[in-house]
Amino acid sequence: MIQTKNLTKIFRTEEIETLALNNVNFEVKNGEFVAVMGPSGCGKSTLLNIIGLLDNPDDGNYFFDGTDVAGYKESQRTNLRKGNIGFVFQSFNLIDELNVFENVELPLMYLKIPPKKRKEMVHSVLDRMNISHRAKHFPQQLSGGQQQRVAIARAVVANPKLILADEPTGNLDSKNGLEVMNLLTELNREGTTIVMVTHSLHDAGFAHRTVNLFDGQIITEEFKKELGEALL
Amino acid sequence: MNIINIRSTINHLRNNKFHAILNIFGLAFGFLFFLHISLYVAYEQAYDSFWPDHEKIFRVNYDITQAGEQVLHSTKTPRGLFRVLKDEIPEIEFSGIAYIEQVLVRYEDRYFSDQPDLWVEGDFYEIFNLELLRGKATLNAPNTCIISESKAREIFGNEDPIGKVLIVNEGMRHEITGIFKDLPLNSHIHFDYFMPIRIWVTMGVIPDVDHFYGSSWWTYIKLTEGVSAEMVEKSLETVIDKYFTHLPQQNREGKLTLQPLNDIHFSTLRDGELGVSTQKSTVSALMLIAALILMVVWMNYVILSTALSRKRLNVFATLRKLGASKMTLVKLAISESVIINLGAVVLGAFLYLVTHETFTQMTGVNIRDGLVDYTTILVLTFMLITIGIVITAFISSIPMLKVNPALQQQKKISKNSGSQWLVALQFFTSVFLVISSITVTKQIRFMQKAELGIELEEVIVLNGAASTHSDGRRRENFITFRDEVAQLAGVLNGTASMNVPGQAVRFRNSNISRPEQQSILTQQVPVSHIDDGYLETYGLQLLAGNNFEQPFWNDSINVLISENMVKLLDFNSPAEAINRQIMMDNRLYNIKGVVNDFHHEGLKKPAEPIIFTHVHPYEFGFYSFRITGDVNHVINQLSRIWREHYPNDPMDYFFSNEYFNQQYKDEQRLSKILTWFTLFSIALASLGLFGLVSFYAQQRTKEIGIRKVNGATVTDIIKLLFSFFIRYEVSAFLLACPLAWYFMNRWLQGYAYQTQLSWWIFLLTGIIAIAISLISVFAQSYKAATRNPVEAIRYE
Repeated sequence: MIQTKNLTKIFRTEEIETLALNNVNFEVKNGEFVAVMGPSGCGKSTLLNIIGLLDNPDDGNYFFDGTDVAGYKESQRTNLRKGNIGFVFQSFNLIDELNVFENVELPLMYLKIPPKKRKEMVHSVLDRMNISHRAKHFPQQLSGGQQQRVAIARAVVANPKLILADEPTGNLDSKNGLEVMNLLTELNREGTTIVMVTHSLHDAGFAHRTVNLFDGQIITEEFKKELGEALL
Repeated sequence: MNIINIRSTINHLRNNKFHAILNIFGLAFGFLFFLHISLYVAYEQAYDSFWPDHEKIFRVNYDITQAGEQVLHSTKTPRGLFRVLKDEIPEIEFSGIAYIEQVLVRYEDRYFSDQPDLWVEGDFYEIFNLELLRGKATLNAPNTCIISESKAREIFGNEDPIGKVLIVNEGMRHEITGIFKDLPLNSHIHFDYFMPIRIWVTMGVIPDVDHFYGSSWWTYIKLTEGVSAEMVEKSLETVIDKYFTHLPQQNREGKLTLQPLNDIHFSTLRDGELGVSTQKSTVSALMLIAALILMVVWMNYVILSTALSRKRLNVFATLRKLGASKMTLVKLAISESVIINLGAVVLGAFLYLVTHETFTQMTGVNIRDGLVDYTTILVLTFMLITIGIVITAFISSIPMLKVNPALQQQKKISKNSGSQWLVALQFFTSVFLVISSITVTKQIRFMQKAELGIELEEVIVLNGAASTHSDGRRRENFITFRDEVAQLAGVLNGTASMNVPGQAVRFRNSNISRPEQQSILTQQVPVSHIDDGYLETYGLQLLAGNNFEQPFWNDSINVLISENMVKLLDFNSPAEAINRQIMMDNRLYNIKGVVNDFHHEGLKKPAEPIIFTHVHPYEFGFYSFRITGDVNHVINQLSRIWREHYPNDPMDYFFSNEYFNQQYKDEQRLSKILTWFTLFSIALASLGLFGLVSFYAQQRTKEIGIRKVNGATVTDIIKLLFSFFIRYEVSAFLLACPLAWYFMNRWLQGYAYQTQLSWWIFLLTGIIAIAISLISVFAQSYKAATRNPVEAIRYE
């Protein structure tokens, strides 16, 4: 599903150039659950943003479902992103002015799905995330765990093939964190591919494979035996 | 304000160059308009206040009513009045009169035509204390005059003008006895020459002691110390009773009132103002506009700088953690306000110098030629700007003060700051001004293109020969001149007349009746002197009867009248009026012909009734010719013939249609001023909107990022931002339309003939307003919409 070849990203300010990604070759197959680990500033989030079509690489190729999208323009990236990729962030990134229902509805609106169908889809995903009783509430009125469940609901409401999670449990306590990891695992079992950036070895344990990044390069890859090998 | 504050502020502004420049320009243009307007207002307010003892000087106004109807509402009085005032009313210290004329002045072999000359008599120089640079001013010797400093330089260069003799009009000799300092432009009396009326008495043109009929002379008085105008007005009633004895015989009532000198410039409703007048409400409106402009530009400053401050909330939090007090943050805001405002003041002052010329052309008034108290204005402006700096600094420091140093990330500030309503107000003003500008332009075009009942195209008008003023054969001379000109290939016809279209008719008669009826008309009727060539030259149609004919003495008791005069005299048709009689100043006239109604004075007024007599113009009048073909060729030929017939006069000419359209120059000026204000208000509104969108987009940066991550396109984002602002624009438009309609309708009521306030004016304005807001919103929201969502999401 995802393949990068010599992916390179450089951040420039007036005086300094930082090599965030250095010839990264990385592959994720359909249905895989991959964790990306590494110290702060090693390039994890940059990699995730490029994979998520939020950003472009400076060099190298990025194949999404077999098509090289590295040179895609903003509008092409937006179109490809819509409905194909869902995002879950550490800080939830819900819109304060919209209630739970409206937050979850957002991707469907941009997919131009008719209101009636939208309503059904949102309610079904909120049920699944066990949060439908909070549909009319605003983000500030929810606990961290609830907010992240809403964020996951929003990420999956359009049935994307790929979910990208950037430290999804970073702002949660262990109980709520576990709940989120279980949700992601369940989604993966149902066929959604997941790439997750994390600092937590515990969370990485849920993935089939862990990629370790350091100074913008992949240094090691570890497979979780039973599943990882089966997939290879 | 310490050096660190200044450095940090300058760095902050440098990092946000675009906003800083926008802010400086917005304020600079505001200051520029404020300065122009306030100086202009000061100029208007200072009218006539430079005269010594100005508070003791009054003009005597004259009103006549008949059966409750106003027959006369004039600034002028009979000549006889000024002589009796001092004797009858001891509170009057001085009294004098004035009469205005454009004269031909000759010195050696040089001519100066159309020279503004004020003829004066009595204690005029005691009332108006002209500042004499050399020599003396006297009214006892009739053959003298005093002239202005600049005129002296123009005529005599470096020569000494004292003792030199000027030849005026037909040959009156005036020795220059004094040079006076040029009068400021904001004086209602503004002349280059002052000459004694007494010369006419010595020539036998007017009697020494005059009567109390008519109203052609401006009478001015100066009161003794401590006397009130009301007291003198009371005594003036006895003057009326004693001397204006003809009025009760005509069943009329006369009234004399006093108008303070400082009020004269603002008197607009009376007939026969000596100088230009301005409506007091216009001056008040301008002051209000100036104040509004300042308020609006400062509000824009607050919106823009608050938008910028928000970027720095974390900096302020850090400063607070490091021990800065709230006051320190306020000082930061003041530094920013001072730097931006000072930049704007410097730029505004520079722009003022650059645009002075344009503004002068626009208003038609060069205030530097007037007397304005610049020091007071500058001190007031300085104080106002200082207050503005402090207030705006305090308002824009509010977000800084709300900073909580304990928080890692600063909380958002409520988005309902009310600034969207300010921008809506600015849009409201723009819409109002756009509608007004279009309407004024439309009315001017309407008036220029309307059917006048008279044909002014291809008519050339020559100023009558001034040197023939008292020449008994001037009518015969003109006829020979006209006959010779008529031989030219491009000339169709010619006429000599007292007045030309586009002018107010100089003589108005208020003593007209039909002999078979008892009462006289309650209306003043213009009476103009023409000859047999007038109807053909100006394309007037004869509806009944006959034209005047040569020789003129056949017509000495005949008049031509217009169709509405027929109605005024109560005849049923033009034909019925033919060979009937009218009484004018106790003389009988026979109605020889009736012509169609026409607009002698343009479409501001309805077509007035008019009476034509077959008389050669007094003084000089105008010689008009209908021409065709090559204009330059005709003019060359005309000049040649003119030189042969009038060797002592220069040939000055103008074209009738251009002259006629000059009376719309107030409207044209208004249209120009409105256009400038419109452009400025649009720029201001766009700037305000721009700042607001920038503020709003910044507040919603993260939201925009999240929406984009979730599939929103650039168009979706722009739509989102636009939909927020369009509500305010639409409300502003909907509120402004009826108001503009109301005011423009009222403005149009001032014209006898009005253009339509068509629907397309409003539609066009709507389109313009929406287009402008689209551009402003787009310019700013495109940046927000195309921002990398990754950065946006990290933004707090």
